[in-house]
Amino acid sequence: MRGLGEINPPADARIMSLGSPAALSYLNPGILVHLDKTCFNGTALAIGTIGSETGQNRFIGNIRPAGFHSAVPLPLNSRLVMGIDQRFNQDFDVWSELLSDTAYRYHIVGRGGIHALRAGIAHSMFKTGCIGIEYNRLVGSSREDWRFETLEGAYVSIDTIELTYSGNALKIGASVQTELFSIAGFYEPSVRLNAKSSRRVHGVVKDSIKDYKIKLPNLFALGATVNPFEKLVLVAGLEYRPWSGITVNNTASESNRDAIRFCFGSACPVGPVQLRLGYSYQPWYYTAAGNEPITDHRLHLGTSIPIPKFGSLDIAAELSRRDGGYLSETSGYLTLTLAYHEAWLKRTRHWGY
Amino acid sequence: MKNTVIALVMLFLGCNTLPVGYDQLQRIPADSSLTLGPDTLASYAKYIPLGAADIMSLGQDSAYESRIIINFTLADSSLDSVKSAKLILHPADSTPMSFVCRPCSVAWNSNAVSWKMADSVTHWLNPGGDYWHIDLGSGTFEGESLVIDLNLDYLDTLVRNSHGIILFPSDTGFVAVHSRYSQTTAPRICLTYPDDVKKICNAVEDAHLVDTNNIHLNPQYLEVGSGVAFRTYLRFPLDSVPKEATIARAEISFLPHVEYRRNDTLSLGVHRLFEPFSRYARFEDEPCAHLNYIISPDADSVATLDIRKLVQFWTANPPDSNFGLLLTAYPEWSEMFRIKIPRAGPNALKLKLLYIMPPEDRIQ
Repeated sequence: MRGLGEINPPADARIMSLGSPAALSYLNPGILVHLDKTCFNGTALAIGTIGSETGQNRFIGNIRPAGFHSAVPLPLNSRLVMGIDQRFNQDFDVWSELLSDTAYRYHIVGRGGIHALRAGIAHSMFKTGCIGIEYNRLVGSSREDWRFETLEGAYVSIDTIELTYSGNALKIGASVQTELFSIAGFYEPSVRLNAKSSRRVHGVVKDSIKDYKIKLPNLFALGATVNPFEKLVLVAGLEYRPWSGITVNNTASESNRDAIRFCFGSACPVGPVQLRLGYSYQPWYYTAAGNEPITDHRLHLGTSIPIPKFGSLDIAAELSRRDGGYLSETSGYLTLTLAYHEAWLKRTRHWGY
Repeated sequence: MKNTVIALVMLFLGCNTLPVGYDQLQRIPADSSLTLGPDTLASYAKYIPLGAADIMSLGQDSAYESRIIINFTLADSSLDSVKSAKLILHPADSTPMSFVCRPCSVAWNSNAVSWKMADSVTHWLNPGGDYWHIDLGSGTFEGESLVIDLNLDYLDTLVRNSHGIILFPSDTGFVAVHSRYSQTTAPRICLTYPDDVKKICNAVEDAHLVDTNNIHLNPQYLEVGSGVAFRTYLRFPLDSVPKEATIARAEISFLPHVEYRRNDTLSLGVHRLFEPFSRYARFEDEPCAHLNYIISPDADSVATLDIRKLVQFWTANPPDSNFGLLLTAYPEWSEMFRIKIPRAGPNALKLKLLYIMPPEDRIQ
């Protein structure tokens, strides 16, 4: 409900079920050491959240597309990567209490976010390494409707705040993958984001338009996997963005704090299916009311269902507990990624039958 | 499991509008409250047309007199063969009231007729209606309907030389009578021809004409009244309220002093003026706020009118929208009452305002 919104994990159920290590996901342009065929994947996300505050509970739900990703092998061990995903989510829906002892209250509905249109190129080297660079065009918009409602549900006026975002980002990433372990990481230099807000008060009066120049600090992401035993993979990830360095119109924001996110995960076959487990901890980059830190603990679980001659359906389920001040939220996430791997496979034609 | 059950229960009960997380916004809009007195105020009295009344008053007392005027379209052929002519009226209450019917001698228009005026340009020669000095009939309201035999000797005068019938009260008190707007109880005349052939003529126009013996205004008070309209003009200085503010509360409150009333509920309305104030300034027909003020026998109760929408309109559309308001009886043809509002002092009229500024952007 403030700042740039909620940071979205990589939109890939396979990665999300391992704790969402960003450096091991397609967010790292240098992750594709091995890519012998074109692949596409699309991800959808369903979220149900129970918010609790001072003995009151509220449930809200949301289903939305989360991202699309494609990777194409090119000659000379190069890869072309493209995609779109949401970097920050700004959806929310809250009600106020009765305002100043009147018969009215606010119903505030926010929708939107900041998306990244990604295009990059990677090069695989020595069959164990890969480096890549990716350009991100950041675009987005959000709309907040502050509805001034009666208790019966009719609204008598709306103040609307609309924000549009644009910016450019560059990422460089690399990974080394061996049979025993792999290490990956990417770096995103400081991002300059332009935001423009406009307000419609009572749906009629136009207020002045404001421009914001937002400077996001650097982002570092590291990830590692180890295969101590056959078919068992252990995963760890780390992301760090010194959010305290964010500036808005060259003014530092005091309410932001540095955030180190870390996660652990493992994958092993259980019977015919691949089972994945993970845990992650994400402190938020802004504080709750009363300057209280916001913490976010998550348990991750997932699997893959192979789809012959198509690809796979990856499923991730997460349970999140988020605490900040008097507010706590328990959320359930269900992520589905449909991955298509079979396109443009070289076929061998056998004459005579 | 517990949270899942809570979520499902909340979903089924639909109670998902609790203010969970609202304080986390940390950009809750600021609010301000104001109490304003009017910077311009005035009252005036006016004899107004009451032809739109659903219920008409007939009667008199020491303060008011009310007559009823009704017009019918009566064909002037075959009058000689009329065996009887009956005026049928339906009272809306059970007050006994005697009256006399006389033919009106001047043309009038129900949209403009009042105690003083026959239409928008013609004054009555005698305020309260000009009439031929003949009695068409008389009667006393009792029961659910009243049938009066009209004098056939004057039927020709009524049809050819008159413009309807005026009912003059003979007793003290007031009776309410259904007007032409009532489907089944409208005034009508029933003409009976030979062989018991009947012809019903419904009222095509009607009105009641109200006068008061004290139309003068006390300069210490603002006044509001019905029958003879007493109207109060008010304008509040709202320049200090930002145009982008959302008005959460805007209430006019005052402690009225009731000078005259015929029942315990006084109906008040607030009308927006379209142009700068004068006695002839145009104003909105339908009130933007309405109050049924119930007179409490135990203690004086403050009258409060919610004019939030009106104030929102004024503040959002500066600078030429705030021409002020008229506080009137609503409808002004309702049973006669008259209240006084002190111009100054603790019981004077005040506007209490609460407004909320627009929210801030999420980026700060």
